[in-house]
Amino acid sequence: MAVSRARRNRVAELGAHVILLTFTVIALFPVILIVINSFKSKRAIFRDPVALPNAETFDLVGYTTVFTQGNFPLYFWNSLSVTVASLFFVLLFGAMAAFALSEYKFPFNRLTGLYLALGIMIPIRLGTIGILKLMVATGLVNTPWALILVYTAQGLPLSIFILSEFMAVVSKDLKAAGRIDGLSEYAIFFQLVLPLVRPALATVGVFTMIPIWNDLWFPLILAPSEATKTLTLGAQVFVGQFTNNWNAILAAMTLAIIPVIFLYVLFSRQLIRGLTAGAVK
Amino acid sequence: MMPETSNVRKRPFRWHILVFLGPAAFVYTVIMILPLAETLRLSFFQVDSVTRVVTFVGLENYNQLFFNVYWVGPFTKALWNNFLFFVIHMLVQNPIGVLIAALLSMFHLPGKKLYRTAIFMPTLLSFVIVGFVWKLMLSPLWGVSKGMLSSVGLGSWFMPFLGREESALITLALISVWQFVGIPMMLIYAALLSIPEEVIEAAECDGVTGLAQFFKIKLILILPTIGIISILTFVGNFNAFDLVYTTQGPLAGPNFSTDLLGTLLYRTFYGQQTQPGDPNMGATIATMMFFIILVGVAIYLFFIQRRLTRYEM
Amino acid sequence: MANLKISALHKSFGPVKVLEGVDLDIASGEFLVLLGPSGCGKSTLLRIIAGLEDESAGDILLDGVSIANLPPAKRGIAMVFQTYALYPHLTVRGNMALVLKQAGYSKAEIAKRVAESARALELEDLLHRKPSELSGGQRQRVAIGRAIVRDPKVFLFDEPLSNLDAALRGQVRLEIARLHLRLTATMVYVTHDQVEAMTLADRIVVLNGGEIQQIGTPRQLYEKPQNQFVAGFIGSPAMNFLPLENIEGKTGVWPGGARQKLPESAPETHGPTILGVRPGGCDLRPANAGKLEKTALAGEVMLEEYLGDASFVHVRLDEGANVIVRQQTSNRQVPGTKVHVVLDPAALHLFDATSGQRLGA
Repeated sequence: MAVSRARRNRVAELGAHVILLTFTVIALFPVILIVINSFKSKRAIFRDPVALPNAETFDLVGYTTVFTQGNFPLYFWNSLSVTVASLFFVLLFGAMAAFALSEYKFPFNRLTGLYLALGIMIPIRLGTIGILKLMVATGLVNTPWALILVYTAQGLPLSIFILSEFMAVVSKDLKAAGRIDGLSEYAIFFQLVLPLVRPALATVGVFTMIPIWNDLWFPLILAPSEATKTLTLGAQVFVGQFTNNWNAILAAMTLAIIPVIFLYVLFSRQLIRGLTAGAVK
Repeated sequence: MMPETSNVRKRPFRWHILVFLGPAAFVYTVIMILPLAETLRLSFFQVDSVTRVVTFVGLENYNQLFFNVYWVGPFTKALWNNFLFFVIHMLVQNPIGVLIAALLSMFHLPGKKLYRTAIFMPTLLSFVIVGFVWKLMLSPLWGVSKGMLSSVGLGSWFMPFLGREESALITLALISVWQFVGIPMMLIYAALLSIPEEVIEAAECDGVTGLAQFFKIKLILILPTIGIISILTFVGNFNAFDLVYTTQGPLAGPNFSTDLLGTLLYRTFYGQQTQPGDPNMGATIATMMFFIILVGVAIYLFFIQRRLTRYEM
Repeated sequence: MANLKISALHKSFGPVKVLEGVDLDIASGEFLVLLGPSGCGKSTLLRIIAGLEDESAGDILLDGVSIANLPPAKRGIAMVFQTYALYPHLTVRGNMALVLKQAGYSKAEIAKRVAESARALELEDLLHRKPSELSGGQRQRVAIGRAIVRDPKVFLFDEPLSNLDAALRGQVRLEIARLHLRLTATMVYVTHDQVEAMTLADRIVVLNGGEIQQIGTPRQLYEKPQNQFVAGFIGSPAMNFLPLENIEGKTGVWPGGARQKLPESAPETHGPTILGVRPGGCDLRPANAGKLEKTALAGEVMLEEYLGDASFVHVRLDEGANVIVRQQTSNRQVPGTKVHVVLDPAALHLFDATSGQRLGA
């Protein structure tokens, strides 16, 4: 975007910088505060909260508490496996359904699409009571599968909706060429279409992943056992138990923040591109 | 003789459509739609707490929710709180989102990406983290916020914001705004970018510049996006639970002043302290939430969205 | 080498009828072009032949055997697409080999056939490249190579030149013409571009609104269009159409009563008639050029389009119609000049005013 000289206005630009900087500080300050204080001794935390840790105040006691008292590596592993498995099913099933809806004409095609899109607006949480009953009946309570199934169902509507839009613009000719060359419908989907919508899959993946990783409600209700606790639930419980151990709390929170920041840095391009593309429509 | 035409086409059944649709439709139906239907069904039944006998009671649970003093107080309070929660988001979160997006799009600022990335970051944090970060920040024990207020000469304004009935809900709503302002910012930023440069240049040539340009041209063109953001905010807010639960606990203290429909549902379903859980009343509350969201979405789709002209760009 | 017969083909998408009873007999080795404006059903017809769409009714016979119930890969056809439709994840070699692999050919046979096709299309140096590393013209050559490698009975082309720029279009067009000469295969070619159709086709099928308007050689279509649609569609700039009151004694009567000499083939008498004449069949006379034939049409020059070897003069007749006249460039026309348009009787086409059908031979 070329900005003409006439449109530039130094004073206004400076004002914009000041306002944006203020919001940036407000957005980042709390997080930074937690992280820096997690490396300080208890006295230093209270004496001067905004100071960076130095040789005198540096203290890892919080982290030692977390690693000796909590089960964080396990929680982390639980979160990771549940998130990855859910993501896999959301993307696979979602892409398959999106392909069926966008590629084939069949009776009730539109109706099926509408039915699957209902879940975009209705929060799955309102069905919690039924879900819990179902999981109890099938013996899946306190297993990762309860969470994986719920997150798959939760992620499908939006992923089908977004992926159908992308599938619809995959070259018709390419699919036709595949059919003429004797590829099966499955081969056309997996070999031709899926690789072409990879950017869309990444975008949907990031959107699906964040609420799963951060969810508290379903781990609390469906899988609260020690063996299946997710990082979010584990951090919540841990912080509840160590109400007055500030070092431990700050260390636990830092540990919970870091994977998210890491993922964000990794995927922020996809995420922003996804948001931007979605809004253009 | 060859038959000239074969009018009746015998196409083999296209199994692959079923194979492609099946898994998604199955998981979605079993895990999402049936439980939602089950919620609706449960709200028409009651279970005797002693004999465990299940009886169909029709709309009795709704009758209880609306007219029994035991239920109507908490329910209307949670509903009202939820409404306030939503209004604060609409008045604070979305205008700030518009402001930031406008600033980002209006100037050719160095460091634009950095601002955008940083302001969006809190959206990615879990409620547990957000809740506790702010609980610690606002805690009188730590004194971070008191110190900061003092440094700008407002030390006397400090109070335990989350601990007082009159300020707790507003504080929570603002924390939620802090967390989610990145979403409207991003969507509006994208919408602003999608306005063709020619339109802006034409406006420049016509002498419509600066703020007038923003309000008379850009804002009108992005109204549909603002509409979508509003309905997203609505659905999100009336489904909120986590932030209250992590900062204030299931009792939504102090003295239920931060109770939302989500926390009320949780308490009703699971019980609280002395009182046992009641899945049927829980289902009734969940069904009400379902209808509130449905009505909100319907109002948006049928009354608001139609008036928001979508301009071809 | 195979002949393709299409009989009573109908296609509708819901209530929308796209093809209404198409009958075609395509001889073995013929180059047949389906020509028509967008939405005329030509691409749908091609896709039905390929098996990519299902026909609503009718049959398709290849060498007398119905292929209507076969999946695309089993029909013995190959198709070249407008957008090339190369597999983006495969190299040129992989693109050409895929169909043979699917059909179960041996490795040696595949290698041999790919090598042959690559040589024929001068693709040998590109075999290891991915489609993204090729230019538009190269991509379309690979797409053609992918089609010939399977040695199909029928080649189908779906607007293969539309995505190429003007210079390349001519080049690939020649390539396709040479290919047809060399392979003497049956080819069905869809286009909306009449230049492509005229230069490539043995016969052209003009389609409009899902119905065949005329089938014939390029010369037949140009010289004896069967109806007003074909007359207006073939030729550039388009044929001029002017209404006649009627025909009496092989002579046309203009609305004002003036007479127009008609070709020998004109009917004795006819009711309301449309007279068609190509820009080359008209000439201009100065308005003050003394005595003019009664048939001359009076008008005013609106503008002149100079094309180098000729120019097209747009004339607005006093009755309101517009006529385009082809002129030698030496004969400059200044806008605003009063002129008379004279028509060469031998170059006139006559159509019934209501049905649009050609009158006379």
